[in-house]
Amino acid sequence: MKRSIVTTVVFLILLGGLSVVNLFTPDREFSENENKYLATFPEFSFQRLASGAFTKGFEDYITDQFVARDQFVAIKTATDLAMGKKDNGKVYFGKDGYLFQKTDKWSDSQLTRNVSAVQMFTDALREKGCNAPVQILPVPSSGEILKDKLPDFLVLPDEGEVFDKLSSTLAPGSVIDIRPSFLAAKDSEQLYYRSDHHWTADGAYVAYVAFCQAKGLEPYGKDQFTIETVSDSFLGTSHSKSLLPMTPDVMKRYVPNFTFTVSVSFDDDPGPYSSLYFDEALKTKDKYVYYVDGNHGLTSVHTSAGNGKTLVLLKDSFGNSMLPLLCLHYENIYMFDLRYTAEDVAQFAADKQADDVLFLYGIDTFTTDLNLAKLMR
Amino acid sequence: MVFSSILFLFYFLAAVLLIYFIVPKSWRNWVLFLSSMLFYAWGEPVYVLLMLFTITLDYACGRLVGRYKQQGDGKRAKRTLVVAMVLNLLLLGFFKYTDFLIGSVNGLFGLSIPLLNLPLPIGISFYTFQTMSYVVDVYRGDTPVQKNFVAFGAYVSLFPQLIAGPIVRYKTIAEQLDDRTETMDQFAYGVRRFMLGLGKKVLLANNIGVLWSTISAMDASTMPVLTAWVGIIAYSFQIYFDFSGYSDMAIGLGKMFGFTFLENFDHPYISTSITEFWNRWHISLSTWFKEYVYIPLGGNRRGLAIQIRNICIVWALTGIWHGASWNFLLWGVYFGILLILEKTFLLKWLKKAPSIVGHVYCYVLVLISWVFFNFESVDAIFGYIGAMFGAGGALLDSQSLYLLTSNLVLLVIAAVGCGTLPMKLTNRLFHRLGDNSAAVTVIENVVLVGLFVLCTAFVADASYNPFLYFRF
Repeated sequence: MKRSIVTTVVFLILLGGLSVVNLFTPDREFSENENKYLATFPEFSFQRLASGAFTKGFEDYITDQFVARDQFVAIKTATDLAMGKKDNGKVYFGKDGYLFQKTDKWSDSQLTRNVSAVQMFTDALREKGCNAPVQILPVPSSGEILKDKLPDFLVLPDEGEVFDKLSSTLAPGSVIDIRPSFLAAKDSEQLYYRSDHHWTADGAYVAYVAFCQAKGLEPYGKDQFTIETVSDSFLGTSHSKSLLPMTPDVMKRYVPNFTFTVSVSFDDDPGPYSSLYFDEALKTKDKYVYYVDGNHGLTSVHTSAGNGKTLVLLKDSFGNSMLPLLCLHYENIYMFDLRYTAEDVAQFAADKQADDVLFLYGIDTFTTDLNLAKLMR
Repeated sequence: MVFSSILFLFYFLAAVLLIYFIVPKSWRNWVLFLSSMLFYAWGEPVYVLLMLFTITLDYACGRLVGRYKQQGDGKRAKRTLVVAMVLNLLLLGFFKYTDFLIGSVNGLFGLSIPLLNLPLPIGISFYTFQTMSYVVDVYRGDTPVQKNFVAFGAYVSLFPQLIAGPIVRYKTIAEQLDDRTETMDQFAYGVRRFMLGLGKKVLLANNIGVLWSTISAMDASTMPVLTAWVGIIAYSFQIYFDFSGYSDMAIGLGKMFGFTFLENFDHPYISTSITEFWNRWHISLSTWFKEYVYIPLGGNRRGLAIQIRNICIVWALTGIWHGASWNFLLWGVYFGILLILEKTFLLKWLKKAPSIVGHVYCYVLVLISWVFFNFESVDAIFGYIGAMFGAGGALLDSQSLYLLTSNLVLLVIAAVGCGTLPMKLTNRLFHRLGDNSAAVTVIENVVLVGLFVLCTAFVADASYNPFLYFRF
């Protein structure tokens, strides 16, 4: 009987206690770890009740707002890790503290569509009388380059297929393949963050050198920059998907040792700003936004390069941390993120008499993004 | 509403327990009835009316059958029984099997009759079988008529077993409906069973289900042997821990409210024959078919030919009960054939062989049955079975090793958890320490707290929480 009393009491304290604490914990508006606004109490109407929309909304609401959710998720991931699991369904637990994003293999049909979108964009550009070379610089995923850091036996989809597909479809010389440079540099430098899917400033620099070589430009050497640490507490998207305690990443920037000025404006914020870096972001969870204020539909940069050259850049977030380096070689850069704009980029590039057009995409975005279809007009 | 959700645990259950135990005893069936209605209406705001209709129908039929029997009017009692059966089966048939029939007819005759595309009312297969058992039991005189509508409604809709069983026959809890005593010992037992079930479902079934969903989505034509076996073994664990975990939770919740349901699972994977397996797997369903179909058809008392016919009927029905598509029928027929073979000669052979032969024989055949259970098309079924036996070409590849090593601990825990060892060891330990000793109390409650925190963590993570038994 005594045992029963204790068991009953313990259970009721656990269930009732957590229920009550949960009920009286104030709602959160935004989850930094998930980078999303959390569901709020659903709007009630009898129609919504009958259709099931209300109850569904209520469940979303209480799931999102569950007390200490992040801590519970961390406990879950820690349990996975303790049981020897090599992933938690969202990230792979790599070696040396690396987390790798778990993504499904791309569909071949979406890849084909996106490659032909690039081709159709090029055709449209030519029709409008613009003969700027159109090139693509695909950024391999961290798992593709850092194979020795992956958990044992893990084989990820071969991104070489994407490079092959691009090379065989687009005009010769269109693909800038940074894989050899990355493989050569991966042991001496940290090219990717451990807690995030992006490349580091060092990674972007290696890619920048490869870009310059492909374009026949003279890259600025590392000795021409002061490499500053801007944050040593960056925990990125991969961390958000596990919430495990881990050593934060270091974020850097390459500041030229010579006088160089920029003027930055956005389609939704004319600015102009005199820096490519946005310190406010370093106080938030999503610190990668430090580079050019994250993703805008159109980011326009005018520089003191003084060579009159114009670059139109179509990119995903990988482009943001490479932009400061590209700026050194162009007087005008127009950077488009197709996920946030409906602009006719070919017309735009023709109007601006672009000298170069560059697609800069992480392989994961390039193979799956539905917005490249906007180029097929 | 599923048990393994924040909504159920920290809103619904907490509130129902509170209300149930503060109201006077005479209101408690009302609390159960109304809360069960809410539980059901939550996901099925319209179909709750269908369930209310079924409750009213069988309540009325039960009373009519009872009255005619009292008046000695066997003919009318039987007629009412038949009407009740036909209406119940029509409702079940309409909502569950119409599209299957239309699809099959379309396929056979090349027609294109439009499908109804009605969503399946949750738990209809379970509660229809329960209400049918009630009218039959009244007709047979096995149980008294339930005159109280609320008590009957509470029986049919009782949320602990509403959507995934066990199928509680009316006579099992007839007395408890009218008069039951909730005790602290029962409540504590209910807590243990519920937490055990929640752990099985959330920590084992969902977790290992991720492995199966990864493998089942792969192309079977190039799947190495090892991957195919790891996949289907993972599924065998997933379905067992999912379903038996759900039954544990139902039995545990029942106990908290003072009900005693019968056991639904008894370590099925330790069986040495398919006959034994079905005495240990989903016992409430096998019992239902035995009592209400097999025995009325004559069972095994009318010669081997009739017995084989009866086995065929019962197993075709069992198959199709699990889902309205051909693969479930095949799955049932597969077991029917195995049972007939065992009845006629195989069982004798197996008894003479060392028990390991029986264990391997039974488990492998059950694994193959799960392939039928999983894939709707015959191509996919035989593609996967082919992969298990080498049609994919390779014995193993890097991915097989990744999946195996990443899930090894989980698979071992699941394998041990399927057996009787954990229970035996616990019982022995508790017995040695003294069942009501302070040591046992401490151990039990430390485990309880740990399990509760882990389950909550996994539920809160909720990245993966599909519920397998919604199809029934």
